Amino acid sequence: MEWTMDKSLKLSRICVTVFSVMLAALCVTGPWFWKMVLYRESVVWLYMIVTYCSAIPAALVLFCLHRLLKNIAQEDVFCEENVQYLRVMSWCCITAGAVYFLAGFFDWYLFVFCVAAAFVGLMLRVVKNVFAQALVIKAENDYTI
Amino acid sequence: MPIVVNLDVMMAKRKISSTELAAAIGITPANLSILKTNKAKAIRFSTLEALCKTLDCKPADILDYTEE
Repeated sequence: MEWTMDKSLKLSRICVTVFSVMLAALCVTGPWFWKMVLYRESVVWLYMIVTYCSAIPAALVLFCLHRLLKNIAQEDVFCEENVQYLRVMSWCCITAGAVYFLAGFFDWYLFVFCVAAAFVGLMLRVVKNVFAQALVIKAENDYTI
Repeated sequence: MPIVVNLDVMMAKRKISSTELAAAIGITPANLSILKTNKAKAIRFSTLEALCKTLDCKPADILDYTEE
C-alpha cells in the first residue's frame, strides 16, 4: 500500500476526531473518571477543576486543527486564516499551561503538564511565525510576473 | 512602489490588445493585468525580454522610476 498525502491527511483528521471524542468523554465522565484513577481522594476536586478549565482551550485547539486540516485538504495552505488558527492554538496551549501552573501549587505533578503545554505552545508559535513569513514569500511569488 | 510600469502607453503605441500581448509573451491575461495595474512586486527577465521583443522597445520604455 502506497502512503500518499491524501491518506496522511485522512489519518490526521481521524486522529482529531478521536481526540474530540476523548475530550467529550472526559468532560462527561470527569467526576467518575478521576475518582477511579486517582489514588488520593483529596485532589479529585483539583483535577476536576483543571479538566474543565483546560477543556475549553483543548476544544478550541481541536476546532482549529479541524479547520486547518480542511484548508490543507483544499490546497489552501499558506493563507492568513491558517496563521490565525496557529496563533489561536498557540495561545490555547499557553492558557492551558497557565491553568496547570496554578494547579501545580496544589499538586506538583501538574507542573509537568504545565511545562509540556507551554512547550507545545512555544513550538506552535514558531510554526505560526514560519507560516506568516511563508505568506509574505508566497504573496511576492504570486505577484512576480 | 517608485517603479512604474508604463505598459498601457507602449501597448497603445503598438496598437496591441491585452489578450494579444498576453498570448504573444506567454502569460495569462490576469497576470498581464497585474503588471499593467502596477500591482506586480517583481518582473522576471524572461517576461521583460518577451515584452521588449513583442513591443519592439527597450526596458526603459516600459519601466520608469518616480520619487515617492
